[in-house]
Amino acid sequence: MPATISRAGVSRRQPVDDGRVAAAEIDALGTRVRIVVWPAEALEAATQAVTGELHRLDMQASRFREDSEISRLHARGGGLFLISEGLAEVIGVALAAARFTDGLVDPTVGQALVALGYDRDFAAIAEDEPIDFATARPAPGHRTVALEGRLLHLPAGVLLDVGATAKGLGSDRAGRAALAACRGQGGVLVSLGGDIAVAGEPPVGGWPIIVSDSPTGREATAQDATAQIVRLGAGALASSSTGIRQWKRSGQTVHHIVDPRTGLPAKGPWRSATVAAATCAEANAASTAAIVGGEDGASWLQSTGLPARLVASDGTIRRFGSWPEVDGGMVKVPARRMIGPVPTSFRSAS
Amino acid sequence: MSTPDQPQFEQAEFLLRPERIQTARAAPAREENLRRVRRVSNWSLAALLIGVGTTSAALAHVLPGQTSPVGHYAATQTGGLAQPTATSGRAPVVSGPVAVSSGSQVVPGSSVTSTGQGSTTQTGTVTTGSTWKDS
Repeated sequence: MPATISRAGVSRRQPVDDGRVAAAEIDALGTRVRIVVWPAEALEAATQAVTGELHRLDMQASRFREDSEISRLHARGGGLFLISEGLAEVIGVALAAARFTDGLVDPTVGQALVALGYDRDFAAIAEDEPIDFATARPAPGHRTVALEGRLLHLPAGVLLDVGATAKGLGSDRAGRAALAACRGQGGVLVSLGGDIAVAGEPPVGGWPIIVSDSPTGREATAQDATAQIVRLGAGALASSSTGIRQWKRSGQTVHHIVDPRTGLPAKGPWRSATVAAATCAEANAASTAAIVGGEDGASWLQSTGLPARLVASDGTIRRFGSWPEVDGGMVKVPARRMIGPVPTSFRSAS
Repeated sequence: MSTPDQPQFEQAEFLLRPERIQTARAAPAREENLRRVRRVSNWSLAALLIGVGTTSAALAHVLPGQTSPVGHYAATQTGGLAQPTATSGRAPVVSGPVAVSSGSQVVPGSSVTSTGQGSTTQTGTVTTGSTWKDS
């Protein structure tokens, strides 16, 4: 089967094990997307479905393309908008995640990220531009945003950044789309830059996944000191790390995980967090909240009961919930939805 | 014979009122129906009691093994585990890791470098893809 050249990037087909499982990689949303399916014959259809789904998400919610729906909202400078169902789901999930994490994850950090220089494609960020950290302000807060079905009220001056949940949501959507493209037969794993959702029937014993953090930004391997191989049979797995997507401003290294309470990059004891949940959006939100909250984030994570693994700056590993202690252990993912189906009527302040 | 108690008075009154004659004639049938209902109710109550007793005995027997419906309900209440779809018996066995979760990699707008396992092939260059803030 030839490699698929798609609008989202490059697809590289890779046989896995005995050939009954196949994998492909594409680039989308500025990160690498890995699609693994069985039976192998379903790879082409699954890859196309994932590509289409992620392109739709990009057009709905990317802050970095002027023609996206959310950018057009921002360009209007606030107001009352009738938005698409797709974007309504994206924002609804982001607001629900803000409530779920007690505000540790908040979609109104857009302006703070722009102030830190993350206002363009990551690769295009200039590292020598000065920035006055003293001008940083807390995010306006998710309670300033109201969503009622497809009706969105966005206050003037509030910029939404849904990055802490939308990539996970993208994995969830892509996983479902890929499985549907396979006519519901077999199993699918979609990894959107390390945020992983599985759908359908997993391989015997689950999908083996390396969980690691690579503080230098290089690609993680099973040989890393903090690496662990776990198996995932259902649900999702997401990681957040302060060691990735760093840049320099005014001589300081900053990263992309912003604390909504300060408007500054999160400072805490954890350099990476990995969480398993029923959906990737939830896992994504929870792992980000753990990084942002520091010790409070760890306490909050404990209260959720979600299986999780935090790596401290000195490499110390702390496990939560039913996270497996041994290599090859199965991650037991709770079926309970933390964010739940997004209601058609939603006001964050409620 | 004088028995001036209330029922007799009521009955006499019936006889004096033609419009109630039909009702008076229907009274025995009504009594019979009521007796039937009571009989049925008694049997139903007995059956219900036997059913409750049998169920209680069965549950008392099963609960120590934690496999009763009550135990299952409790597990559901505390969340349970996400389950994959029904197994087909055709699922493959995958020995090596198929994905990495380590925080998002960044893909700059340039050519893709070879990674991963298996016989990876590499072609082309990235054409689109806005970079998202993520976690």
